[in-house]
Amino acid sequence: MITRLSRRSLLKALGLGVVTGSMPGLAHAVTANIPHVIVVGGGFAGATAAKYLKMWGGLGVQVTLIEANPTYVSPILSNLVLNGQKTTSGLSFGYASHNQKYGVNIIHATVDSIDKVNQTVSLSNAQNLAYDRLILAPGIEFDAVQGHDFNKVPHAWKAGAQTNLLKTQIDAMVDGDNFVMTIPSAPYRCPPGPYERACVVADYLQNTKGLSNCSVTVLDANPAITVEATTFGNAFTNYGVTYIPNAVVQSVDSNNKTVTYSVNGGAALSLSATTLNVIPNQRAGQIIFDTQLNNGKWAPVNPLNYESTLASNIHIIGDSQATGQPKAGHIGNSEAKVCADAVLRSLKNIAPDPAPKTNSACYSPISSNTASWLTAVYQYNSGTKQMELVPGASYPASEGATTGNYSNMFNWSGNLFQDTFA
Amino acid sequence: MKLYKAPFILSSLTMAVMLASCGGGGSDSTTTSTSTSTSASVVTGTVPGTLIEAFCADGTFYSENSTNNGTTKHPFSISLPSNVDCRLVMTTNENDPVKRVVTPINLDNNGTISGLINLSGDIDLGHVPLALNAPNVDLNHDGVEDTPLKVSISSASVTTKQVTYDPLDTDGDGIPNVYEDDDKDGVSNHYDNDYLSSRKRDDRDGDGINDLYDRDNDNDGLTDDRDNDDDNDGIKDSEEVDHDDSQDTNASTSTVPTPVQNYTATTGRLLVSQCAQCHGTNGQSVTSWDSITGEANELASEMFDQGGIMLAQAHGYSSTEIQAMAAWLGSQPNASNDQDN
Repeated sequence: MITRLSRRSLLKALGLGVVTGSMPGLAHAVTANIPHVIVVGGGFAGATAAKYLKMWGGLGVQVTLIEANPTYVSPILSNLVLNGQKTTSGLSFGYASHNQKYGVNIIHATVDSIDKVNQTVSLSNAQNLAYDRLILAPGIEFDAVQGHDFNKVPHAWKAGAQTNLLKTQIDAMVDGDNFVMTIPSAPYRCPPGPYERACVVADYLQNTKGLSNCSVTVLDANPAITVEATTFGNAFTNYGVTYIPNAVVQSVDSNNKTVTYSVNGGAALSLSATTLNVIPNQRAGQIIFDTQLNNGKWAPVNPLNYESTLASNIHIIGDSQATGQPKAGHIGNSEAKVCADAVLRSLKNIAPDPAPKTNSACYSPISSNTASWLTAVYQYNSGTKQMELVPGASYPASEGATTGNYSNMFNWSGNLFQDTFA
Repeated sequence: MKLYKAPFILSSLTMAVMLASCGGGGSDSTTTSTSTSTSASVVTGTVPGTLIEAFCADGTFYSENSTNNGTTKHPFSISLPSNVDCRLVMTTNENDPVKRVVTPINLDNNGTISGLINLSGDIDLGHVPLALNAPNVDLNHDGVEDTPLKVSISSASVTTKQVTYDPLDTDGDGIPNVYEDDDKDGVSNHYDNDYLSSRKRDDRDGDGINDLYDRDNDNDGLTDDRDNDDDNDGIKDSEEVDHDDSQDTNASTSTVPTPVQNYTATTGRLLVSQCAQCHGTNGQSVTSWDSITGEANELASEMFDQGGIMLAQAHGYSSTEIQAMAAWLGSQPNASNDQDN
């Protein structure tokens, strides 16, 4: 095709396509003699690591963030999409600040393979990048559940299209319909999240939509509510939520929205729902298994620097790592800073901080205008070589759901989003 | 031998330079040392009648035409950002699709040859003997010289950078992506509307920089934060519902980047970073919660007097740790929205 269009008419002829983001987006060359750190995964952990590596490491380090999607949809606050108080676009974050403010190279691609010996990463866009340090933050993968079709029975545990699918199904419910959700075995992403969801959905159906004859049933694979048991237990009583502990999902009939489960290993029981939300059991992201960095379902690391105990110069942060700290966005951000500092020190042959601290905090909406919170601080135990709760601090959760907590939830999330993505 | 053993060749660069290379610029920072970050360096020389273009790694684009002075050697002058990686391309007969010759330029600076140049001052290329009516070597007949033209120079004002990966030239052949012929139809990407429409929808100016991160989406020389028509379609950004950003303001930031000729481990800084989830990066809150940057003496009392979630957190830190945090915060500027000072 030899036709020459003027630049102006050419741009017009192109139409106004939406950015799809598969081409390399980075604007900075990788120079041979400056250490190169590759971060895989742009969620709370990976995005924080990339930002802080450049904020603290400046021109002494080159950082490339590899993330499949041009925007990240925060699972934090995404239960408020279900009751219409937030939208997934309002919870979406891009990487322009990383690129333009901090100088992080951004590549929107997926990792095909990692060569641990030669320290290279092969990408879906056919690029091959060498690293001095590799930080993996791939989040979670779901264990397969027989018959479970995510397009019919959403998990909505990675935010985005799944969240909107679940909202559409909830919005279609009429009086007398029932909502059934299942909670995976711990550890799973965001410990209070499933209980929070049950409360938000029950409140939305009863009080926002006025459907007083709808029922909400929670099948929990765990023996009891895993966190904030008093707050959530009281809310379940208040909403009339049916809570069934020790309920292990066996299979799903996605067309008929029926879940088969057993309680305490007993006989198989079935429950059919108008809207069925199955959150499967979870494990580390697939790249952890493909690269043989797992021990069981998660990736063992040294909590001083988050380096894999199974491979040199590869660090794993966020939900995929196996330190026993909770799996959630706030503490993923927290781990990322300890990791970034340790990686920058290692590039200068400085030992990592021997006594790192991390913390966890989460606000959970209980209704359309109340919320609860819990928090904790973790420290390194040099005897066990593990991160453990700081003893004696007796971390209280909030005494219940309040409107003050509800407004503070946005003060918390606003700074967390800023600290991670801006 | 891993790369971190290499000396930090950038040790002489200032923090302001770092901002520039990060795509920052003077308005992006509250620091006072940014006046040089927006400085320009001028490339001069003579050419046949020529369009001179520069594609720069901070997402900016520059172009100038040479001046017809009646001789065969037309002078040109193009101003580029200092301390930013750029690639030069010169095109003769640029308005004639048949005779057009596109020539990527490599500099040979005292034996170091690269098309990726980084200026710290003005340079003069002398006369650049570009082909006029047909490329010297053009096996794929796309009008682009298959090999960049090497221009020799000896100057301390330019660094010719040899890199393992350059997003402006992803295959490393010295031809910028924008002048490759990726669909092999004999028309370079820059002039190829079928290629652009089919494959480059996220890089509409074809410069190899994704529009998301391109500071000059239409390569018109106006960065998007000053350009009221980011895609150059004649429709003002404010009147158009599309990718254009209609908010042409430079986002200000309160972050103080750390200059890092040498990485320094700071216990207080790492500990304070753990406050940032709730109080903002470097303690600069963007919500109605308190900014803590600049706070030193009052930090401990604030941690323990607030009650609620702050008190629950406060019990997790020793007095030694709180002192380290206060020392680091005290070294930072006060926030304008600090609720306590």
